[in-house]
Amino acid sequence: MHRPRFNRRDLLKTTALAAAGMASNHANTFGQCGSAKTTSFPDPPSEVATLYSKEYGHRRVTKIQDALRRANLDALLVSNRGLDYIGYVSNFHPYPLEPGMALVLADGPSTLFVNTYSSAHTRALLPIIWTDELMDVPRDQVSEGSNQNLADACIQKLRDRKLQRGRIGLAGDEIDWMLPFYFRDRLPDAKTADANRTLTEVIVVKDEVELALIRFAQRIIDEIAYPAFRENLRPGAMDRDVYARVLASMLERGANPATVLLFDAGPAGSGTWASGTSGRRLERSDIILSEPTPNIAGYQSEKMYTFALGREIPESQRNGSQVIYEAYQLLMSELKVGQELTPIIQKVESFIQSHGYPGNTVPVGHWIGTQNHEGPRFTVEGTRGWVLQSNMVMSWHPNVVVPGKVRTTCSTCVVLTEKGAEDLSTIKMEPIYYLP
Amino acid sequence: MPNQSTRRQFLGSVGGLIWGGLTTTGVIPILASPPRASATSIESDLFPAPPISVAAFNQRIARIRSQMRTDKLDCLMVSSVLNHAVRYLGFFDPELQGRASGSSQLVSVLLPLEGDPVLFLQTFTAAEYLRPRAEASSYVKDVRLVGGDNQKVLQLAADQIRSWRLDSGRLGLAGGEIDWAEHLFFSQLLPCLDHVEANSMLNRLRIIKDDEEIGLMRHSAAIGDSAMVEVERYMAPGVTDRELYARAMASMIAAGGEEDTFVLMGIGPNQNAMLMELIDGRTLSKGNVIVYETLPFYRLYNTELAVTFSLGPVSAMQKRAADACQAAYEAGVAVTKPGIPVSNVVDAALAAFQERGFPSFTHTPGHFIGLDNYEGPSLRSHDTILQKGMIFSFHPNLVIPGQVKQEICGILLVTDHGVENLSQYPPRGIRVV
Repeated sequence: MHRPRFNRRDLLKTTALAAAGMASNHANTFGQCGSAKTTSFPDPPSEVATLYSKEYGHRRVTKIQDALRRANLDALLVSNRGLDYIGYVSNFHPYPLEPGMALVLADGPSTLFVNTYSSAHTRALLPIIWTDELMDVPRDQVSEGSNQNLADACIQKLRDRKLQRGRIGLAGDEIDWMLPFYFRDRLPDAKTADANRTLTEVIVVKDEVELALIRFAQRIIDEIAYPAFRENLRPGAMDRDVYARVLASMLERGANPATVLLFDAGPAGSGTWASGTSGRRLERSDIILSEPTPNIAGYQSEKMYTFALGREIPESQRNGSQVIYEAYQLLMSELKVGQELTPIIQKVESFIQSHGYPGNTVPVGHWIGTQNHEGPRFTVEGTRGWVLQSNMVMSWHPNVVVPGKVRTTCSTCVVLTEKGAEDLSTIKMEPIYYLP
Repeated sequence: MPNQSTRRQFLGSVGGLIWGGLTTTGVIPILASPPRASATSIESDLFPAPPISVAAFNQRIARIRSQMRTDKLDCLMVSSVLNHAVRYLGFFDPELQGRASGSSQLVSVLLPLEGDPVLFLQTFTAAEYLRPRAEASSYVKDVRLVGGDNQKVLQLAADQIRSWRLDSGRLGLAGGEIDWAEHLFFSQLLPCLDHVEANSMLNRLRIIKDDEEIGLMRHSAAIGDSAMVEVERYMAPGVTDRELYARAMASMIAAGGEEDTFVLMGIGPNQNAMLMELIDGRTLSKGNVIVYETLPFYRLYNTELAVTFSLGPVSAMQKRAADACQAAYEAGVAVTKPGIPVSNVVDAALAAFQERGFPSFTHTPGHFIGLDNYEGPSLRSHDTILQKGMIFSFHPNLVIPGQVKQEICGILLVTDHGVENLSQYPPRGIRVV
């Protein structure tokens, strides 16, 4: 395999390069559902091209440098495996065969360290990355995905920049906690600090370019995926077939290969959440939890639907869905700029518990945009001290899974404005979306 | 030797026999699936079953332990975030790793020389409702669900090593991603522990497939073949790359391809030196050369199939490149057999390629494949001797910006006396549509 610069999930980020792509109306197009077939749907917005410009990248890096100075840091090292904060500071999105690390100096040039797959890949990167320098580091001789050589190159760069006694922020929210051990060994006079909050405080507040991309992703959910669900979810339909058709409909209309579709079909009491497809035929009274997460130039939105095949569902499902719907309404009334986040999470949790449920089964929400889960987890500890700000984009999904009784969520993405929380979806929230 | 059937014969036979056609009529392709591994619990209908039988898994663990004894390891720790090394050790459910949300998390398996292994699973939420699924989908019965950051996974692993009284023993670290950093972590937590690199050991074991693994990869290859037939039928001027991408994806998923399944595509000729490019909405037109690659994951095992198509007449230079890639492929296949260094395959292919006037392949001509797309040592390795059961993807290729995009591919299984291509798609130079 000769992978391009990005993995399947991240490939979209470069879709911007071809923002001029046209959606086709080929007669045999199969992924489109009936209603979508007759609806014209626009190409991805011009902000895709903006995102890939050096000028935009310069503004992004400058924003991060300002944050570093405020945090009294000399440099920021961003490392990741599964998450991708590296992409936020460099526009390079690592994957297992092409790991990367990014170094941003508070005052000085920024550097991207990569193990590219080939020199052709390196050349292809140069026009789109935002950092001042690109260092293609020799690969590990045994393991394709090791990023040790990148850490070594980064440490050497810090020495070259006379920062061996500097204050180095480590971020990425994933493996950065391991790096202090390595720095202590290789750069003992440097002072390392956890810089995840410094970085994520920048990331979770979106600019106009980012908002345009997220809004377009939401349009794909509302105008492509949702009608495709309504057309294809039927008793007797094979789960894989429905999954394939909904996914294909989004891909055909401009969602990039990083697009994700969660799917979970079965009886109300199956006790599952996002369990995937299994070659099972849908049955009357099935509850289907499914979440399209289309990706546009690296930005995403999501909305998980609770569908019911017919109205003959257990009372326990109906009751649970109503409680979660009311929790959702409570939540929306609380989301205001200037409010602390922690009490809102506690209030929603208490509301669900007050109705006899154990609380949210999966986290009640998360910031969303460059990754599915941005920033700290929505727990009391994770959100302590965080205050809601304008242009934060958040996915909220009060939910409960009680084996034998109910699995349900009311889910949507919102952008915070001075007027409150704006639901990015135009699909009216319902406790359960009933299908024939 | 490559299958010499014509394009029409091939499309007729494969399409007719295997592919029912995923069309607007909703017909699902039918592929005979390998038998599922034996059910391990009443939840087996709800949760994914292990891809291999418990007998095959036990044999695998026995092989690993035998090698651990040879290497004087008391314990082996394998960690994965993005790659699939832990799947070899019994973690069979990527959904539990947060893969579906795009936020993969750390999974580690600790395998002592004696006693039961332990699976540490950092999850999106460590809620107990995940436990039945985690236990049903793995042969490792001691599953520890870990919430919070992945530091906790390693701390718990260190605690477990202490409880086994192995903290003065010898620990092999593998996974190929973050194990280099784990060394320093364990140095601090378990100062008497001797920890060594174990990736090379694990890689050598993984690249030899047992019969069940071969069966799964054969099925994966059939899914890829079917999708390629679908793509070839659909490919025409006016179709967009997005539609072409979506078509193969839908075909493979409907046929049982898993969430990791994906497609790569490059459309030329253009000035790009990359073989594969971004999906960007461009419309195919006459004269395009399309390198299309399907990569289906079937029950955790993947194969790949790359085919080069031309929409209309082929340029002289593209034809030369196609002939050279085919000659290289056939030369490599001709020498493949047990007992030779794998580097001989590449050397033979390269010699044939150079005879036709091209100095070198643009990208690597192949790699071992299985649970990961790239597994084990490089095909240029002189000390890796081919053995029965090894499977590698072999794909001579060439890109000349502005003139040529070309790749030809087979999934080669080393057999008793030679080689078998798991793909039924004819490995031909270029297919004119």
